[in-house]
Amino acid sequence: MDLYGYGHLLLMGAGLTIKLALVSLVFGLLFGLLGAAAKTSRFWPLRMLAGAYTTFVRALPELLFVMFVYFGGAILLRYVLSFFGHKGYTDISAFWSGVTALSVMFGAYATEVFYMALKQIDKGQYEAAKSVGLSPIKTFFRIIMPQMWRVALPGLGNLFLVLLKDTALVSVVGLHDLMYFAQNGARSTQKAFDFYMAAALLYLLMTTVVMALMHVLERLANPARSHSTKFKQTQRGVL
Amino acid sequence: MNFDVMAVFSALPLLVDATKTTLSLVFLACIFGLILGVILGLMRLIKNPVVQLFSGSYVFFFRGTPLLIQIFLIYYGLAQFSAVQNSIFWPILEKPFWCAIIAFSLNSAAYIAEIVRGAILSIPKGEIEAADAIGLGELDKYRHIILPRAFGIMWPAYSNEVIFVIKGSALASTITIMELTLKTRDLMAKNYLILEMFAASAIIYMSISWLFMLFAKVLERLINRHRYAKR
Repeated sequence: MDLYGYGHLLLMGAGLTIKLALVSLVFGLLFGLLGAAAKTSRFWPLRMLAGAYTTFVRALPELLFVMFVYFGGAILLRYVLSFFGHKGYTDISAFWSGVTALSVMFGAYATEVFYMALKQIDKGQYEAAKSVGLSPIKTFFRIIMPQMWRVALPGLGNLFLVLLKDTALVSVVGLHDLMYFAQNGARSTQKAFDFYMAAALLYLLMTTVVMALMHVLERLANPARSHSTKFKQTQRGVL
Repeated sequence: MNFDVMAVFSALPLLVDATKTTLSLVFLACIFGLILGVILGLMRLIKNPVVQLFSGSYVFFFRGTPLLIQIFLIYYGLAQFSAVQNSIFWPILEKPFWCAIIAFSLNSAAYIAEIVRGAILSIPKGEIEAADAIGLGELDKYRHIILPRAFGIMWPAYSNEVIFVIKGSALASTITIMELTLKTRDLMAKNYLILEMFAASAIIYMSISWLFMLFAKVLERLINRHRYAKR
């Protein structure tokens, strides 16, 4: 891939896009888990907070939210830091404001996915865990999470695809990702179609890889189902 | 930090024109997207390898790439070819407004196609067999049975898609269309009331989304009233 000498820049940008997506995924999953925990909490202000979080973030355009975190985030951070006695200039790097925006958006949708998955778990599972003497933390990690994971995985996979595509928006606040270099190349060579098509194909490659990975993960999370299909296939072969 | 609540409300009248632009973008994109999406969704169900390959790769491309790239591809990308610049479509393709509408429609058509396909596949088989049994032709079967039934099934998913178009319309700001997001940035650059201007446009975006959701819920009850009927 040469692209008038811009090919390696595009690949470099793609590297940043992947990094951005993965870092945002980690924080986004964290926000999602916390959100779902708050939504199922017995303490009503937490439930309300989680409800407000998902409704507000999901109703706002992604681009507006990315710009809000970049331009407004520094102001809010300065305000918060002033309580701790920090005076003077505060700024957030474009990378971390991008990660913040993307993971908060991912978290809002992931909260709903985790919440739905949590609701599908039978009450008896908690009771059984309690009756064998597991602590609440152990109950969550050993009993609830593996079952929740299986239900949530397809939804989370779709959300990660959305996240990967939304990374293109952070080029608007000046992050040097794939989209940024595509714009750069298009502007200086006047070959806009070639550059945007190349970038689009790179994004397509990334989403395809993610979809294939999700397929593998879904099989791993559901060993019983893949074994049963394998079993049926061999049965049919025997007959 | 000082947050001027009055500034938020005094900014709202300034955003009226931009809101109109946003609404017309969304409205036109939804109509064209729905028409294209239904056609594509039906194509996905035709068992012809050529049609399958075309509709399948269309959906794959438009769902697998960012909307921002699709907008740039149409607005900046097509201008690279002199054949496009000399064609009769150029008066449309040189206007950012129409390019945004084309991009939004093509994008949402890909998502709607999958919704339509899923809805038609989930119509109970007996209803289609019943249509065959009373001797309806292919066209009548689609017009009176399959499409109205599919519409009822797909409406909740489709109304979600409209919300995504509303949110996606903010991207039109990147190709110099003076809609809500660009107007917000414009005001911020003038008065430096960054948080206030964000709050004002957030209020407008949220009211648009919520009003639409309300409308969608009412219509859902109307279309699927058989599900809510008292026994």
